[in-house]
Amino acid sequence: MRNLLRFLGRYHVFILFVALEVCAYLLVVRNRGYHEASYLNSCNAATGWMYGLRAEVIGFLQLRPQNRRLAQENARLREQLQAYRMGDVGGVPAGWDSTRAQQFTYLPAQVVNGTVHRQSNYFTLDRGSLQGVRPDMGVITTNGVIGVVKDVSDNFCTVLTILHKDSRISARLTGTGYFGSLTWDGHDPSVMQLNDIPSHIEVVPGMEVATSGFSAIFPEGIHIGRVISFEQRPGESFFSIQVRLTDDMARAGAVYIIGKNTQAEQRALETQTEGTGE
Amino acid sequence: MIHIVVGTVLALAQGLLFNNVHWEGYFTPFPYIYLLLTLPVNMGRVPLLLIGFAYGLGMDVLADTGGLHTAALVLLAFVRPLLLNAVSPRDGYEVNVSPHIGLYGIGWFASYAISLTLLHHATLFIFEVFRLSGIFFTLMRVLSASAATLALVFAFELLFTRQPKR
Repeated sequence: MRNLLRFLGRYHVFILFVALEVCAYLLVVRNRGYHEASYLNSCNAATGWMYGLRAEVIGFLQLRPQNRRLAQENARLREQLQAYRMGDVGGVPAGWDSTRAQQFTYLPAQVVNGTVHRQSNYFTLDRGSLQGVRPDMGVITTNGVIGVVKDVSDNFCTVLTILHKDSRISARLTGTGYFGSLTWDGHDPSVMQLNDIPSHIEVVPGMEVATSGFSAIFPEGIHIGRVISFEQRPGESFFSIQVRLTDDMARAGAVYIIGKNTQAEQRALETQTEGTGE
Repeated sequence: MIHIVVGTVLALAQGLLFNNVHWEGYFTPFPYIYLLLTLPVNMGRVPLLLIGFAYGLGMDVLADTGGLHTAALVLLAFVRPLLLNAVSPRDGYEVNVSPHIGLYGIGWFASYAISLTLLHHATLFIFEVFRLSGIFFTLMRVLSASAATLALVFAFELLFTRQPKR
């Protein structure tokens, strides 16, 4: 025992050095994701606290107003692009026509709250009725679809995200013309399921999935994600297709709220048709 | 006291500025080691190791690198007293001096700073190699980053410390 103490006393610097290096090594290993969070718990608490601090510092320094200006510029560009696309369909420059007037407006907004790890996920955005937000408007990011506005207050609105068991987005496989409904099974927040695609068409992993434009909520061709796998259950004539979202929903910050000027007209007409059918 | 200020300023500069500096993956400077270079000569080895660990951990959090900076900085903190002993003047160091150019001249300081910088950067990049590849590439990164770091270290020295009278 005395020898052990003497040994420790004599080599305490070296022992401390080795211990600290081992701790550093474990941190490296953990950071690479080979092991999950369970070991080295005190270090976890420390780094967790520091990560929180970092998020605070970096968030503070992110130059929010500048961000917002850029988002507004993007919104303006998207409007112009939409008008341009509507203008000369099929390469034919169009003259002025009321049917080709701008259909969609884009309002930049910021996600201020939200979850992706529950079964029913909602986001809160910092725009509300005073800024022209109405229920049933679509919400997108630069690289994907977020969801549909549910409730609106004066300065905020809540969004029923596509990561919700009741969410159904009309989506098509780009290049095939076939469309189906995009739903979420509640497991992986980066993977969704595209249903109702008939099994006779050729599906390839990597195919793009985009909005169909049928829903009166989203414009046509908003990128959503790519096919990663597909299967046909016995006795069914439809594929069940797994789609990986291009955008990480958990990191959504700046988004656009899409208004469709002709939405009310389209809805009224559809309701009228359904009414006469009965 | 001065070291707390220097350490904070260096940490912020490293996290917000220097971590984003690079040219084709080369020449990323890590001037934060300047704090460890200039701590008092007679500082205890245990506090030195603990400071190296804590400061490295802070750098890792800022750069999201797990424990790479921690490992490299703890090694630097361990080797520093050994190196200082090796390059000590004949009658030992005075109490409470810090290693600066003004202490024993630029040649002495250069050999001290270059050795520790190369050691630290080599540890850092070689430890990182587990996910990169190519030893030549790694070596070039070590050398280019060391050059960038040393340029900054000498700039700090010339700008912020008193120079010896000629």
